[in-house]
Amino acid sequence: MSEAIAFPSERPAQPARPSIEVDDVSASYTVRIDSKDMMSDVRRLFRREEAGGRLIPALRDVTFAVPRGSVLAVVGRNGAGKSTLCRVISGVLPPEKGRVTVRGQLNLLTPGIGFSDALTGRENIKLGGLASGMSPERLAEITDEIGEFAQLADYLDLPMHAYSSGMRMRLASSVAVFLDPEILLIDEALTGGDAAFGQHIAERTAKLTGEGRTIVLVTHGLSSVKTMATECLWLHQGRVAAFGDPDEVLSKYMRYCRIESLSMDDM
Amino acid sequence: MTTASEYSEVEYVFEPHASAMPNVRDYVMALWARRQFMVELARADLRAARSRAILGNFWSVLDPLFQAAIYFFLYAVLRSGSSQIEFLPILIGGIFLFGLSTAALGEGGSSIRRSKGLMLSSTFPRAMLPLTVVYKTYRKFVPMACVFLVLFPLVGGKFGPGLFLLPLVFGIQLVMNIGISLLVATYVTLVPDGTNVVQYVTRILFFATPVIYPISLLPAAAKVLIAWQPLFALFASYQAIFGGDVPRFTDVLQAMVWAVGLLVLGAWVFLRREREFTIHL
Repeated sequence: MSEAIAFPSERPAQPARPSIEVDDVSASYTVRIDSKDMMSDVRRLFRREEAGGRLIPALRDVTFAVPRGSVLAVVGRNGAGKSTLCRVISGVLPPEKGRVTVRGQLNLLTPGIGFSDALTGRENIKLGGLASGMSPERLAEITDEIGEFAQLADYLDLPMHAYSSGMRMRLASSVAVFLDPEILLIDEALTGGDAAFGQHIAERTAKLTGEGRTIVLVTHGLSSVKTMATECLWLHQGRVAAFGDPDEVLSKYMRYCRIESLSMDDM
Repeated sequence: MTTASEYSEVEYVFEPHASAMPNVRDYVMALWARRQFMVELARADLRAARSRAILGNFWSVLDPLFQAAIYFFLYAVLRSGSSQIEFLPILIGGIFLFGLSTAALGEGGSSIRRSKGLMLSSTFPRAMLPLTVVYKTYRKFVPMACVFLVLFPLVGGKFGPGLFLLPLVFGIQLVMNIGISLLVATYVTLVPDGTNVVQYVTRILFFATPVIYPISLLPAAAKVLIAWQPLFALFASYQAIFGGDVPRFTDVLQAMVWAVGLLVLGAWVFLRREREFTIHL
């Protein structure tokens, strides 16, 4: 196995190179399995099985590249490996095999997790921003802007446990698109909130793309893929089923899923 | 905002999770860049712990007062008729300070497992989590130290020349606690039964450390058996300081060697294995 390199290094500028290169990547994660009774614990000990966990293969031999400034939509059924792919690209989960190269500052935000219930929306924005390496000064500048964008300006000073799940999603999505990322990974973000907010964030994402940002969008909303994506990746059981032009990939995916027409909550 | 023409030239390469050390200098710089995150996370944790309590932050002063009262009562009962040294101020100081090491072992050890959400949604140097626990524990210790300073003379404590060595010994404990939290966090994250083992280690250390008894009461054979463990020399030094004496040079040196050793070992193990953590969460 080769060495893991977790920190950025300065390289000469080569604008033609893709923002993200995923080369023959496989990845797994451990699932904890509670034992049924003490006898099964004893049997497991004697069989020298791994205690309390099983390694689940989530991605297998995945290869693709995302050019700078493009929007890659990742589609697939539940359990296809979409979220795992996001975690591997962001460096949260190391691959078992292969190599991921990311060129540019990257931000991953999965709505609903990483936020503390006891803190206010404002404090959560600060915590998320600081974890991403943003300066407190810059965060102070954009916090109200994020609140207004999320249509939650009046709620920013209330604790998060007072928020509905839709409000949390809106805030998380808004934080994700405001943290000045060069590469943004959005996992299921656009499925939260109402149709109006979906449109609102789609406009913001389009603006980011116009500025040359690269966006990876993990979604079940096939309409979002149609309107926003420049590339599409269909994952099936951890493998690439199709990659390329969104219309072509979507039509294959829809044939597979037997979907006749698109709607906001397609899959 | 950055545009395509202004893209930073940073390049991240993620390869298989073989044990590998990141560049330590880059790692420390990344930690330093996120120091504000550590402060905010500690504040959030402290607030969350008190958010549903009516007395709120008053508990940070009430906790040590109640602890001192309990040990005062136990001491008064156990001591009746005995002519032992005036041990109560040493006992209270020892209990308060031992809490810092207990937190490094327990909370520091489980810091990665408890932050699954944050671990899976953000990329940051993972050592930030055990370090935040240590920082939070020392923040919580400030009101405790104030209570102790007030109580110390009231319960018969006397400061001697050894007091000048208190900051040094306290600093040694801080370094040791950082090392312990990094080491134990790695162990607890990678070994499923780690939390259970750590609970017993903490209890054993409590009795194997001169906190609730004066060293002079320790039988020679028992002393030989437990004097090598990391916290023994450290708390022997505290006992000397709170007893109005100067700690022995060999005790301070032994504590120092343990602290540096645990820090180096803890950092080495943590940094080598931290990329594997998310696989096990």
